[in-house]
Amino acid sequence: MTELAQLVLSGIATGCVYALIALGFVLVYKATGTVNFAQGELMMLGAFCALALAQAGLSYWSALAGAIALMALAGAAIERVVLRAVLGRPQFAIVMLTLGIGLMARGLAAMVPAWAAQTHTLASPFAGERLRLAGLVVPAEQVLIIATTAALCALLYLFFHRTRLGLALRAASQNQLGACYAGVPLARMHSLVWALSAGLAAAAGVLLAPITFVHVNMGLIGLKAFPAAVIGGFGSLPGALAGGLVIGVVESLAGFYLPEGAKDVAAYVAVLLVLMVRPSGLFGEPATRAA
Amino acid sequence: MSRLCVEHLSVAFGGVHAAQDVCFAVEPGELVSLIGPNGAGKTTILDVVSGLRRPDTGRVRFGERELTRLAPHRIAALGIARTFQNPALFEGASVLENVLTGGHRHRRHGFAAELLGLPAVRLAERRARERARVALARFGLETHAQLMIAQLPYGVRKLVELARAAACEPRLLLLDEPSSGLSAQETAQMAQWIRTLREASAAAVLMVEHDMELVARVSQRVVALDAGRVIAQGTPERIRSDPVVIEAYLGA
Amino acid sequence: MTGGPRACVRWLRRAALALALAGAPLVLPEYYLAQLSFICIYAIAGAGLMLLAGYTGQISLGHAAFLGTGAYVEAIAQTHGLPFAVSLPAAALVAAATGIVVGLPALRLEGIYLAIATLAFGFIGEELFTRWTAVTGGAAGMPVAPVELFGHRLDDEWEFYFLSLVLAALVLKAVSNLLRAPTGRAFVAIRDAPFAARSLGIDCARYKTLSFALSAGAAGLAGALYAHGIGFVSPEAFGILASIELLAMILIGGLGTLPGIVLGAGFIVALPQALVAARDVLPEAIARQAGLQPAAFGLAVVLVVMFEPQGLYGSWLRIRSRLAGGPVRRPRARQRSYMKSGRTR
Repeated sequence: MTELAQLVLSGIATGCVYALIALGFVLVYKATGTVNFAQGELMMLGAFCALALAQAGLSYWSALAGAIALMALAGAAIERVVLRAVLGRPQFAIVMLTLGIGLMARGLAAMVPAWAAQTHTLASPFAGERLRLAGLVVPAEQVLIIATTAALCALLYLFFHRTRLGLALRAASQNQLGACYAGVPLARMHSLVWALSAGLAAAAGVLLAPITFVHVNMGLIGLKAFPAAVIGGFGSLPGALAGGLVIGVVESLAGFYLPEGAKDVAAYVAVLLVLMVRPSGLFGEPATRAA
Repeated sequence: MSRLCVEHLSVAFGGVHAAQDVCFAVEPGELVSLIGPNGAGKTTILDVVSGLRRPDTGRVRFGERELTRLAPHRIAALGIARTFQNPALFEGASVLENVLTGGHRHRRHGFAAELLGLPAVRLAERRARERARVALARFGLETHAQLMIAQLPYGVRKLVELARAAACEPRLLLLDEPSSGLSAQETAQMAQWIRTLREASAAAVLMVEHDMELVARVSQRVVALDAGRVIAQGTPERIRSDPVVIEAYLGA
Repeated sequence: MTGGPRACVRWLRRAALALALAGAPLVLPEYYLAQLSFICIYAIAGAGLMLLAGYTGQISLGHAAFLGTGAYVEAIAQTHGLPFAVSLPAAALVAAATGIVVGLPALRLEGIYLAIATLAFGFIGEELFTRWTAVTGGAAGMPVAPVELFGHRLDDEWEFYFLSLVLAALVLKAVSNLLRAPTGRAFVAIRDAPFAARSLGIDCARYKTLSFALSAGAAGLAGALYAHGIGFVSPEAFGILASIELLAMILIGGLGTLPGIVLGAGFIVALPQALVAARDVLPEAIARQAGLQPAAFGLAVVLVVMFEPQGLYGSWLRIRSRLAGGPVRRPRARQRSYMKSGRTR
């Protein structure tokens, strides 16, 4: 029983990271219609930013904040320079574009001599500590991940529901034309949502660092956020959160109870099963078809 | 020749009744227009006939076949072609290729024969191209054959869609607002093209249309709808002077 | 069509191309001949993917798994002593069957859901190649002997080159036949306006499945040749990065065009060579980096999407028409809009 509980808890912790990446992914998709396959690479760059800041002597928390801010700028810049130039192109081209951005990001990161070809440790303040909670022995880092994710989600919620900017962004996501007529500057909303999404990716990267270390191919782990987003039904933020947690827990259980290798594909098997039963995700509304 | 029978058809979207107990028929070779104010359920009925939408109750028969349970491509294979309100052309293909695709239901060979490029396939392709060129010429599109759809103005696109549907050599043709988006002059021409189409084929036509001028010029019978119900049927002259129809169009 | 000076020019150009390709072994060193073989192999895989993604509009982010299926079937069949004339079709058929299995659930999926489903399939395939050690040799891989055709071992580079060249020519010819027939037009119809396609009598499910099967079959064929060309199969050659590379290949070549297949294949083989050649020119710090190739590749994709949506073939058309002094012909142009595509609410 405690074993199962501990597995679930560690699954939830990893799932939180997937959820953060998936949130960024869904944010961009809802607001701009773009599927950003470079989200995993943004996470990797965020982790390296934090690493560089920490190595420069900043504390863990300021490195986290710094990485989020830097990546938010980078996200807005990518939107402004690259994506705005290809508005309205077929989805296939845009998918390829983000895949290309991802390849570039990975290649460029591998070209930084201090980053390339090895894994790095980004130590959190609680490294190695354990907490006792209701009879469970829990690594403090897992609690840190869950708590930080919860805090970020709360901030996002407040932003979307308590600020004018958040309202404008929600409006732009639901009905672009309507929002445009109501005076919402769509182009700036696109930049903003890319900034938000890249910031979330950076946070995810920093939180993931204690689990997987920081390395150039971290982005591939980020690809698991796509199954999370799909299971959550793509258009829904709470769905992305739930999808991330589902993937995390499924993966953690599969890693323990199933043969070796099952852990790595668990997320993908899960998403295929979900798609076979519900072609638009567990929480997604069925795709409306215009005749 | 087969007769199209729409029997007690009802379709609802959520709480909105797009069609309620709709009954009418289209005789072989006849042109029937469906008219009615916006939201009267005209396009919904076309969607049901062509199989893109399932009705809640009622059925549609074409000759002996019941269409209501068939997939759209099976309905098309029976010889029922349609156009869309906004022309749904294949943008990445040329005008000629669009019209050739219209003849899809006449294809004879499997994909393996096509992969190998067998002489029989090439002969069939040459024949299909000749037929398509004839269809293009009939609508005055022969100079456009090699143009891409994206290069065409809206009016020409509607015409290409008509030519594509004609290339199907249908027994029943469903036209969804052939005049929508066209100027008065283009609409007048459209009436001419519809006549051309009917001279070339013996197809029956079920047309959804707003423009009463066009309806009066080409149709033999008119079915007037309002709020999903049939409110009048008859010749264009009779429908035009029908008080119930006038009420539906002008009344609050 | 017969007669006319234009037909004559076209015929001459084809003859010249055939002569150049046939004469290549006489002038090229073995190393470059091997690169030409790989262009042929990539062109076979590209032809399949072009059918699926370029013409039918179905994105596949797991295509390298089909390539891997073909490669492993070939490697395993060869270790069991099956003749090449049997194992090669078997590789293509097994891959095509896999394509149908993947294509069936994909019938209900559209756009991004399809992309994720094929991505998932690709990952599962890669994992299977790695973990099913008893059959695939696991991460260590399997050696593959040179092709033996009717009792003769194709030990020389030029022999393998001709084999690849002939197969690539056959596949490209078959694809071009198909595209000029009702099936090819049905694919385009499904890509551009699925509703209109259905109401013209095109069975979308059937044609999507067919497209998946043909595309996977071509990938399987290419995979089998690839196994011989490298002399070795191992899982990492068939992972997600390889899938992205294949998609990038047809995008860079020119989506929805036949010459784009060959141009893309040429690009994908030439890029690493060009980077090696550029090593002497570039500053030491950049030239020695392992990241140079993915970065350059990613940059190429980004630049093509941003500035040349018709790919290398589009550039070629433009250059040719500028040379001829004629107007620019754009094979596919789409309207730009500020609104997100395909979603109206």
